[in-house]
Amino acid sequence: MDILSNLYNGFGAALIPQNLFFTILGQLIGISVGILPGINSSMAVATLLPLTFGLTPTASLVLLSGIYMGSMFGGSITSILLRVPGTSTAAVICLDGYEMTCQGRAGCALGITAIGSWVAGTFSLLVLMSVGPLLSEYALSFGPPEYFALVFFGLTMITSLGSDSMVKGLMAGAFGLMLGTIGIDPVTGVNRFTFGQVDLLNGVDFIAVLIGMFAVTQSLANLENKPGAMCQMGKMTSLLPSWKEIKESAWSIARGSVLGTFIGILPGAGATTAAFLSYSMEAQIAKDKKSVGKGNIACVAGPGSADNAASGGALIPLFSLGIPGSETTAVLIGALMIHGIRPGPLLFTEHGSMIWCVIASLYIANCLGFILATAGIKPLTLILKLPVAVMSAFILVMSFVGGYALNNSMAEVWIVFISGIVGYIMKRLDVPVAPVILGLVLGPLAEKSFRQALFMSDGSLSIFIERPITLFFILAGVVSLFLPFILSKFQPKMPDSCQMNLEEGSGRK
Amino acid sequence: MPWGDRALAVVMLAVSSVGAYLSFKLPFPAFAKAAKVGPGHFPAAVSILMGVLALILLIKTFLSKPEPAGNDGSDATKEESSPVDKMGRKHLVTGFVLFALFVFLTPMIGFIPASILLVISMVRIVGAMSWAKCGLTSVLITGFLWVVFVYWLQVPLPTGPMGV
Repeated sequence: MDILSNLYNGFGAALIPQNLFFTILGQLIGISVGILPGINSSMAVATLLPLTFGLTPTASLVLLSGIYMGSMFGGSITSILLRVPGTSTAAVICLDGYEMTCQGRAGCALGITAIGSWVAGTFSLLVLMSVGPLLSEYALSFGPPEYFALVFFGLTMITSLGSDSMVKGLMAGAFGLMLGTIGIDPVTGVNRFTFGQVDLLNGVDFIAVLIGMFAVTQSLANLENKPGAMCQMGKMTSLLPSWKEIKESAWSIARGSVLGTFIGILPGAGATTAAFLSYSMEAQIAKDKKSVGKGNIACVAGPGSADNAASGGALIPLFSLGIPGSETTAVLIGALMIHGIRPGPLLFTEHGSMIWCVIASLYIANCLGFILATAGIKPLTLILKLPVAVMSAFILVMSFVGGYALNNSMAEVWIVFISGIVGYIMKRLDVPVAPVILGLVLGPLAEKSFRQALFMSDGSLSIFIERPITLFFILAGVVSLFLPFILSKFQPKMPDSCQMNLEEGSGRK
Repeated sequence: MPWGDRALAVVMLAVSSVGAYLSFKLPFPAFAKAAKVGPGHFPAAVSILMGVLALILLIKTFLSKPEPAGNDGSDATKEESSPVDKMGRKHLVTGFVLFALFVFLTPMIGFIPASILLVISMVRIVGAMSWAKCGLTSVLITGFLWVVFVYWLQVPLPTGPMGV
């Protein structure tokens, strides 16, 4: 009953005109961002983060989470219509979705993805409502050793952050951890690697690094991209699938929702993994195996649902433990911290009304996304016609303003600039950027908790294996380290054309 | 891309060596000795990890077989001389130079003129649009960001001698 009354209050707050406006805006931006190839939700959230400085924490979180959820569906629009995954999560949808478009069933593919996204989003939010507070209550007993173990678990997701080379991924993670040590040591007050620069005393602002590595890098890369030859789009019939097709996809949507939510909760995985696993599962259990890869609706419905469910699922560890399950949720942590809110076990108790309002807003956004999908896909796809030069110029100026607004100083702008160049070089060398951000965000917390725990135990490492929660998370972290090896065994083989698009596209969402 | 990876490994080896050297040089205040881990230990461990990974990458570049022509990375080689690829590279360099100039010039001439110049140049050179469209785009983008950040969010963006 508590959940229902909290949700009732949440809807009350979410329906306030200001919050409702930002819910709608977030969903619209999210879908638009998802449509734009090369621009992912984490980059959009990072770029738009400065816009939320003047907003209330609730409005800002409603807007940013709305963008996150909206981008999941938006990404599948370009996957289906143009075989260009707008987001890496939607990459797998291009396999059967585009085939459906070529068969003149684009409306059906888009419609089933919209329905799947709505069902999956609702399911993951229900799990968030029911498990979130319980998980956070349990997490209240956490001390520095538990926090270290938890953060260690979060850090192990570096291994699965979208790169073919684990060595490069780990190296990028180590680089992020190293960047996180710049500034005053929080335990002893010793200056580390500041080289006499006052601006570095507070450390490297991870939001500036984020804007540089995602926004600047991507707009530079977009400028370089050559125009790809696209297949002729099949004639679009209706936007809604038939009743028979909905029935055919119902179980795929259900499986995608459950799998996606579960994978989303795990900090070691994410929406991309969820979508790929769902595709793999649907391909394996399809009755007509010959139709897989040739317009099988279940292979569109499953991944289309799983990515949305995973984005909802990723909010569970974020809201209850302060651990990001994906790149975008790592940026959302930044959004919370900007408003003086520390994500973690106390979030549900200290800022319960805000979180419930966000959950209610996400539900409204989810329903709104469905309405938009069925009514306004055609006008939304017009954004694709915006010239690359205009888009890149806008993103570059926006990145400058975003960096400057962090501290009203040029120091952050230079960090944005340098990060942009480093990010571009990394992109060219196929080094994933996400681990750098993860290391930079979680590294300082890991180091501080580790040293605080050692203070508690007089320097004995046994404190990390004597406590059950600590031991559990450390073991889970070790398992998660090896998860990518296991998952890679189940990933479907993609056609070359799609693989190319995936590589051109963004990293993990 | 073995040469790229090799260069990356060498750079990261250098970064990790400098990082480890500086970490070991950091002081360890007496009051913090109970924890047995000082301010330099964590960065030193991370530097060493980074160094080991860079070494593995370096060894891998020597052990890996060269990729057959027409595959993967060699796509770039194949298209090295294509006009589309050259155009892409020109656009990239233009974007990079313009952004660098924008970052460098904004504190001197102010946000509004710098932003208008960046957008006009980029849209004109990369997008090959007419001067009228370039002007309109630059005014719209700069105006939108100015209204949102300066007027709405009260962010004091840099101003030049003309006060804008």
